Amino acid sequence: MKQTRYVLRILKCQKALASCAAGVLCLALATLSPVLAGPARPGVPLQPATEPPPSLTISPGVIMLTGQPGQSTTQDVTMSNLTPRPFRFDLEAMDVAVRGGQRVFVPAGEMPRSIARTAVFSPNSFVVGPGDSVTVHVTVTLLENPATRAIVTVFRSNTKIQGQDGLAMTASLGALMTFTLSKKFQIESAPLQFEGTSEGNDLVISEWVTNTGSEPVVPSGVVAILNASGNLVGKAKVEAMRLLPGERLQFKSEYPSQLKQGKYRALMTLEHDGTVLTTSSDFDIR
Amino acid sequence: MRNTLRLFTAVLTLALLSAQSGSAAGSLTLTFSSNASGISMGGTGTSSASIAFGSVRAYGGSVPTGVTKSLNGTTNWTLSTPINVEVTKSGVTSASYTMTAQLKTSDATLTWKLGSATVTSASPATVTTSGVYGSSTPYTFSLTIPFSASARSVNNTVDIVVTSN
Repeated sequence: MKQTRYVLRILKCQKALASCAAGVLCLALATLSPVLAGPARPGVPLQPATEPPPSLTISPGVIMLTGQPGQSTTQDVTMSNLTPRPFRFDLEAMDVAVRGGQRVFVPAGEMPRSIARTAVFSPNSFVVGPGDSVTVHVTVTLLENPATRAIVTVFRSNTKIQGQDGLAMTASLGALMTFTLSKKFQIESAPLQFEGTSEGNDLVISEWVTNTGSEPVVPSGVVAILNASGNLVGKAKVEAMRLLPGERLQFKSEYPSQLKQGKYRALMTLEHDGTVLTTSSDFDIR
Repeated sequence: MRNTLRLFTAVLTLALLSAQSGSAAGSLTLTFSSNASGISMGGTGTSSASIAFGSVRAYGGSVPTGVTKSLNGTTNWTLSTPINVEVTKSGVTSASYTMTAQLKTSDATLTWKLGSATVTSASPATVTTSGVYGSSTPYTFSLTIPFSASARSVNNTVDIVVTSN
């Protein structure tokens, strides 16, 4: 409650100072926000806030949907322009296919039963001014036996900074939309791999995991290290990664402390959608 | 009349079924910047940038600072320079990002590359499927020109698309 009150006061102050110079505003915020910035030290001059670099931001970056074929959904995706110039965007959807274990973006309609082909954008192009945001409504319909379980809605930039001769680059951002249509979740793992098994080195434990099911999964987990007596020596987190059906990724964990010479056993446990997959292997630190 | 009512009911039911449960999260930001070893880019630090190679030739002459020229036997020659791309995320459950690149206009003569990906106008080329968030990552942009190509002005746009994995 206290924090809420502070935020409200700051917002009111921001409004009041909107016409003032930025430096004044920063100073006012620093003075007002002991809760947010910590106590001021006497005699230490206040530093002006660092300006964030100019950027384009898409939000949300990922949308995970669950449903049945025949259903449709409308999602809002917002583009924010934090640059000093206007940007024009055209909307486009692409299917996200998996070939050879890796993702490939396929233009809408190229694959049979393309979900991307059903995408409707409102608006389908827009200009977003400096400091502004534009929200686009994206409607997609799930087909029977769709070709993929993911599409990307691309905000394709049509604004470029052109040099005299050469190359211009435009930044486009995509929001990933994944679709879960059944309970057919399954992942399979290869044997554990070890790097840095000499004493004093940083130990990295990894395994290649393939999504052999029909639906997207986001496994995450932990690696437990046991000593020769079977006692727990330590644990390390395995970061969550998204796997589309057919996709193959290497799940890695860096053990945070160093192990002494000896024999150990590693158990990597990955959990997703109520399912647990554990792989274990013995290794030596020499 | 009864048939009409039934039809109306069926349509209404279909519409009600269309709601889906799901979750939407986070945001994604992309910034280009000049690489210390590369050419100075126009619009650096923003989400749009340009590289001006100026007037260059295979034999003799000079290239801008940060651009490397290499002759590949008697077949072609290449201009290359590193550029930095930084993608940041906030609140997204995603360990990495995918970056693709595609030329706006087709070019049958020159070979355009970003990293190891050959970039064409036909379809998006995958530059990386395991981009690291929050670090300014250098990617080498290169342009390969056949010796048989006649002198011309080179203008094109590479559209880079970044998506959370």
